[in-house]
Amino acid sequence: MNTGKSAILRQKIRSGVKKFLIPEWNLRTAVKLAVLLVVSTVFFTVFRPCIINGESMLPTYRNRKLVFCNTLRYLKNPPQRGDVVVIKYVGSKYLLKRLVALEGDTVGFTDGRLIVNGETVDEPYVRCRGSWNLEPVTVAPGKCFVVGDNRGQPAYEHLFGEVDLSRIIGGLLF
Amino acid sequence: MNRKFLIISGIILLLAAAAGIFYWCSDRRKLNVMLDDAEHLVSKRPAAAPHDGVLKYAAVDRIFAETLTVSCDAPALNMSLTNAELRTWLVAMHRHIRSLSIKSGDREFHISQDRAGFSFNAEISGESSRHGSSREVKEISGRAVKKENRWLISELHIKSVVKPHY
Repeated sequence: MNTGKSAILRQKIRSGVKKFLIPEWNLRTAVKLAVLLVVSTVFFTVFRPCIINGESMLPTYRNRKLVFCNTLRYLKNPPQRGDVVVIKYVGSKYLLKRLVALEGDTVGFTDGRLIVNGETVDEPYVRCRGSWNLEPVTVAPGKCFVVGDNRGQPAYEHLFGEVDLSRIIGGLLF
Repeated sequence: MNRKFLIISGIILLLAAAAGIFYWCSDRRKLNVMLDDAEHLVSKRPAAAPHDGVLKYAAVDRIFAETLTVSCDAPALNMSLTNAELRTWLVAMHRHIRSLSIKSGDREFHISQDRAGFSFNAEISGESSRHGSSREVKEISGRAVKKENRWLISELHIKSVVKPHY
């Protein structure tokens, strides 16, 4: 009995999978496929998948992690201090950094502590602090100051500094 | 084969040929070739043979205008060079480095008759005996002028994508 029922069940599963993988071609199937294609194209254009390559955003984002860039994030409102932003770099490469200062702000580091406009910024996302010392600089108009969360690296090995605001293409989806 | 099929195929082939000719003659293609040639001229392959340079530097006056204005934010630089000075500078630079590679992307052009503006991002990596190896990304913009149906670079402005302050 059980053998008969399981055989019928297996046959149903096989025919269902076959129907799914090799559908009958008609207008309905074509429309379904077209909708699927359009939705996935829009999704992966608006929420671009990226794989993190590097350790400059540790411990917040680890190396080789898959993330999605939300290109609609700053459509209405500009990026704010503390936001993790995706920056257009070269070709299909992007930078992932934290925005710590906006145009007109003075930003510097003293013993690894971030100082913006003369005040020490509380940074709970930074676990390891190197002894970074940087004289305060004023962020130029149209630019922002970005830095990674991994301050354990020596400052000269870490890519950080002023970036054009126009190069920020979005934030992370999550 | 029926007649209709032949006519349609012929029309498609003619349109494709016309598109190809149009693209070949276009300023955009010529500007791309100009930038490719400039990258090749400035780059240096590791262990390049000595005779490579002689032929290479002859291309300076086919790529750059009589006077080239160059500005850079890091290192801070602002100068005008004639073709002869540019050739001398390139030879001197290549003597001090082991290799230099330039990979450009995101090229954009704004063309207006015989003048054009261009911009692109470039990943510049290389090795020198004095400073070891390095890799940087720069945003490069500039202007080109058209002379005798050939585009020549007249201005280059080099800016760091992430401007360091250390």
